[in-house]
Amino acid sequence: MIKKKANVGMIISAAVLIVIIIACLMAPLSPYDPNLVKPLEKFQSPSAAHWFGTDNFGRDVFTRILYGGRVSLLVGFLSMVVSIIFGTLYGIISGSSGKIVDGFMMRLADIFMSVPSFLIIITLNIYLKAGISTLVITIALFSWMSVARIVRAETLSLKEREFVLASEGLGAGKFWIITKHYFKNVFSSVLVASTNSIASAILTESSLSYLGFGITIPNASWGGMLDGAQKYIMTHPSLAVYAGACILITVLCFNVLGNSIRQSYDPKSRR
Amino acid sequence: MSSPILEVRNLKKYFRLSGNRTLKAVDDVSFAVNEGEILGIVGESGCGKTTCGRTAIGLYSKTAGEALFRGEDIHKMSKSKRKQYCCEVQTVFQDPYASLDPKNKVIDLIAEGMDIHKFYTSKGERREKIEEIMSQVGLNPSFVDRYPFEFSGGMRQRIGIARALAVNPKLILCDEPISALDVSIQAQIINLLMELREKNNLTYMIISHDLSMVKHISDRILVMYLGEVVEESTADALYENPLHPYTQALISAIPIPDPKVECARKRIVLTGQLPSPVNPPEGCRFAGRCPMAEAKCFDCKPELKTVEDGHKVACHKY
Ligand SMILES: Nc1ncnc2c1ncn2[C@@H]1O[C@H](COP(=O)(O)OP(=O)(O)OP(=O)(O)O)[C@@H](O)[C@H]1O
Ligand SMILES: [Mg+2]
Repeated sequence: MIKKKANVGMIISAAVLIVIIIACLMAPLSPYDPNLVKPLEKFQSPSAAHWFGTDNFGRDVFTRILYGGRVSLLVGFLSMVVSIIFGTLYGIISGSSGKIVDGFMMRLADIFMSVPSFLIIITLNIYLKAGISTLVITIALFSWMSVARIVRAETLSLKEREFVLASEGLGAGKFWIITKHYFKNVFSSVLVASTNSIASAILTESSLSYLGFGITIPNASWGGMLDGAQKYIMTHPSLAVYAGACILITVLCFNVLGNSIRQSYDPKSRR
Repeated sequence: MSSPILEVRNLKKYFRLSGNRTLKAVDDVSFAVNEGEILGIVGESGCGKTTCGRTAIGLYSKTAGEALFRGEDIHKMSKSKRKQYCCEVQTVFQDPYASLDPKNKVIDLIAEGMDIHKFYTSKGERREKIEEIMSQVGLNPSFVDRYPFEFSGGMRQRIGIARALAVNPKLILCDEPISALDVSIQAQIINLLMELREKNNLTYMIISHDLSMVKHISDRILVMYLGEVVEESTADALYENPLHPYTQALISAIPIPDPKVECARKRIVLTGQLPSPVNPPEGCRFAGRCPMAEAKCFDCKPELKTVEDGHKVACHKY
């Protein structure tokens, strides 16, 4: 194992993400109801009472950002967990199986990769009951393939390593080798893939909500808030900026974090 | 010497390459390993020593022939029999870096065989046994919780030896156990192997390209050339009276620590390179590089025949 060495990018992105996550978790502490319409208080500028001002229904934008963040982060995290678990198992089974099974499983993954996933996700979200679980499952359904590919490639190279031969020589079966050697050795790549997976799941969720296929109105979500702010982009552009910036910063931080983890695990990129 | 613990008959191992070519890594090899002896296998790099050893003990599947462990065909064993057999025959690998899983601690590396075969009843017993094996192979037992990257090549090789030893094997295939190590460490590892053999009544198959080391420790030696055994004899006879021209060349390349003798003797320098095992030459495979080759050598393949008691050679001269 290579010692993990933190770098600046890793520390900053991790710190920002922790702040965002904690803030979203504490959303109920806000004195405002995120969905209560108060027509009299609409379009207020930022103030001590309303940090980010209020929107066209007089709702506190900061509170809605926090509640929206809960949705985005939860959907991102859960779809990451589902797709990582499934993708890792799929990749390891594919890589450690024979040529025929491996070929079949990878062609199946290719098919999933080549369909226009976003359209299918939209369609599924129209027909299935709207909600977080539907979002998670439909997003995960089309994001496990890249993890599976990475894990399979690593498994194929692990298969040829001498310590696996040594394990076979000690009488180990396939299951033993998978659990004791493959899982441990693909862990670092899976960790990197998981941060990228969260980032793209958050993006997909935001796009869906923006288009109105995600979380149902009036519940807040970053994408949905972007959609709502769109109509007032000329008069009150700041409404779009808050939600947009949140998506941007969160996704960026997850990607930077993933990159830094990869670098700290990769002996070649370390000085 | 007593009965053979391992008997190999007409063993072949071919690798399928792309484009429908086959690489004949081991081609029709027969030999036996007797209980308690040290059998050396020598030959230049790429001649198929590793493949031969691994196929002979069942680590690789065979293409043809048979390998018998105490009379039973290794490649045809039932699953449970095979599992039991794995405890009797172990391997020490050439590369102490590639052969240890970098993500496992020393204790888990050494205990892997014991874990698979459930050789203990409690965690404490497991740790105790591992610490005992570690001190046997000259590792400080307080290192149990370290990772392999914290160790030098020699220490790693000791971990590899400990892993093999943990299942109480009878026969150990040592595949160039010292060639990846520093010269100063090599002697230590060889001494350790010899010591462990005394203590545990082990039989060794030692693969090496270093004839002087093999000659020093082996009882019998096989000389391999391009996937075939070209000479088989006791270590002393091989050294005193090498029959095959290839063996003669190998032996003449061993330096003698006496300047006078070293200057006076004549060396046989081999020209040319090891031919490709994909298209091995017809006739004697060594003919193209043999200083004594005749027309017949290029056409007709010499059989391995017994020339003297226990001394076999595959050459038309005899
Ligand atoms: N898995 C494999 N697939 C294809 N070819 C292989 C494989 N393993 C070995 N070979 C080939 O078989 C031949 C014999 O290889 P082997 O490793 O047995 O030689 P060796 O005598 O042990 O050499 P060295 O001294 O370098 O370890 C070589 O030509 C090698 O390229
Ligand atoms: Mg070898």
